[in-house]
Amino acid sequence: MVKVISTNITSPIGWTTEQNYQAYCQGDSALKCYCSGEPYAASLFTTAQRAEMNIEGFTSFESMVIRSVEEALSHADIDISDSRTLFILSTTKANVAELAVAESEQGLYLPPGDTALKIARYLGFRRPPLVVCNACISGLSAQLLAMRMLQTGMYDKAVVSGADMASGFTVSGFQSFMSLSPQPCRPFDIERIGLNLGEAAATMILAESSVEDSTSANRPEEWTIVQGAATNDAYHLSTPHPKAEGLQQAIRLALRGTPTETVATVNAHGTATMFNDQMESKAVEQCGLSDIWLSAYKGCFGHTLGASGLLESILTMRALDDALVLPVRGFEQMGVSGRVRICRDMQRTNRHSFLKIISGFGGCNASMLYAKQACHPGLRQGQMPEVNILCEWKAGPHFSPLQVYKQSIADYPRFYKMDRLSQTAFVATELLLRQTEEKPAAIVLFNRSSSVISDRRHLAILDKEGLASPSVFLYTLPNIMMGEMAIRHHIQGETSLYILSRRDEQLMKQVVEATLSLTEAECILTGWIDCPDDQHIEAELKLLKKQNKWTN
Amino acid sequence: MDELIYTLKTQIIEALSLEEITPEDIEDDAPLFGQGLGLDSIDALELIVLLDKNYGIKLKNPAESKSIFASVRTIAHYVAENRTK
Repeated sequence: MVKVISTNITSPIGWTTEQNYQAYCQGDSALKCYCSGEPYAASLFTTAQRAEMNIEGFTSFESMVIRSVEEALSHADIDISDSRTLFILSTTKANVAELAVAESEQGLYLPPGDTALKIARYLGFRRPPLVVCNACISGLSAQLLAMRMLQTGMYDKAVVSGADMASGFTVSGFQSFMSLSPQPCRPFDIERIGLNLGEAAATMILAESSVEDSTSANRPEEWTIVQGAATNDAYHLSTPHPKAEGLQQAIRLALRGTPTETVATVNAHGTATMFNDQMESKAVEQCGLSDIWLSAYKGCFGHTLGASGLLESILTMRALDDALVLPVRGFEQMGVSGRVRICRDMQRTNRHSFLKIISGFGGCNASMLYAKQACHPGLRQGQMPEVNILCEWKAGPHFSPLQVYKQSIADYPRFYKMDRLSQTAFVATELLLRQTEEKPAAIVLFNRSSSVISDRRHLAILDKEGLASPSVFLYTLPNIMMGEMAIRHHIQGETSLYILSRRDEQLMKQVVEATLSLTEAECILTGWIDCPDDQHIEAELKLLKKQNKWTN
Repeated sequence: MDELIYTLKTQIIEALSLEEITPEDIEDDAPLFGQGLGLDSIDALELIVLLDKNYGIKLKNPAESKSIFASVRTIAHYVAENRTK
């Protein structure tokens, strides 16, 4: 069992969880229309707020994360400088606003793993941090990782922070997908026309239940993360599966053994795009949750990307502390065909658990169950499994994905649409899986440079033509490479990307072992895929399988 | 019109990275989506950008683009009538 010791939400409507909760209850929102060029509504920090957050020598993104973590730590009596505390950063694009087309003009830009390290050092963490980068589901992915690292006993405490800033980079990209609404968004409403971007950071401090902390010592009940799961649709890179099979599977795994009568609310992703909300309504209905209040907060905060999976769970906890389910802002008339019970007005509840659901580009879905309960020190759950390496593949110094594709694959024209990172992952996976009959159920990848080649390309196109290319923007989410792998090989389990400041074999081993020990996946594909520039490729994959104790 | 159709074909091939396809492979009236070239929703968005960039045509509604993007010929007709550059 993992308990939530402390939280923070930092958004344009508040610097603390409490301020944000009160602001939500009062109907506040920072969503407004920005009209330079194509109009879009967004929830952005003001210049004065940015100045208030800013720490010298740090970017706005980094400063916001530091403020959020510091505020959360101020409510928690814990020491983060020991070697048993892990820092996890959830973000889709981190410092990308600082990236320039030319490397020479870089300024304060750092790749996400290096950014996390800089933040971690400032805050006083001793162990190397991890960045979770799984598009919109990152916030839940990060909690899943933290839970596993704690339950297996590798760490005692985890500080999980999620954040993203809006910039021309993301705005132009979402515009090219025609998914931004010029008005405050309207989740699940018949007139919804798209999402709003939102800036925020949100932090959860988690501890394994046997860890004593004075903060929670005198509380009879505490918020706990019960269980969760991530899946992949293996269907399309940007459109969710119409029957929501992947999300359904994630929900069923998160609800295992829990009677739905105890669930106060399903907190939806509710982006207010046509496809997302419709798909979620189908999943909720198919999982038998039609009678549970459906809540969603993007009509207030916008889509806060890497923060959303944290922010929305934290806000739900705070509301349930007051026995309340918060209303869906912007919703008036039912606009989805799955049977759902939208929380239009504030509702009272006596239930103490909730389900968070979330889906994102790359076909990924995640779901997590939380419960407020008396927290007993439990046994550490994860049994470290015996693992066999089934096969391995490593790129040589002259490896060219294009050449290999033409010579020995050549049956997948989509290959030419992929960026260099995805092409590398695609070819590496082909060459690895040719060695075996086994099929991986999940993918766990690591890299350092995120999707920097596509990031620069996206910026260069914006500079030159003023209009983003949707297919280039898509690949600025590095987890897309796993979406490609999932579609090609029909892999429907978890697909997770972690970004590190360097290739830290020990940390990678911990993540892989924790994943294997606490997921159902028997066989996972894992490794390092990094493309820092057009000249260099690092690719090394292996297929791991849990050893079956009962046969030989 | 034939010249516009040919130009569009080369622009589509480039914008959508249809590496192994030549303009001659694309029939003027063949469906672009579903069957035919097997294009998908991201390709449709890319075509919308293509029309904006090259012909100054702004399509607001992705649904409306469905009939315009039926074939290269339907695109050519729409471009001929609506282009601003």
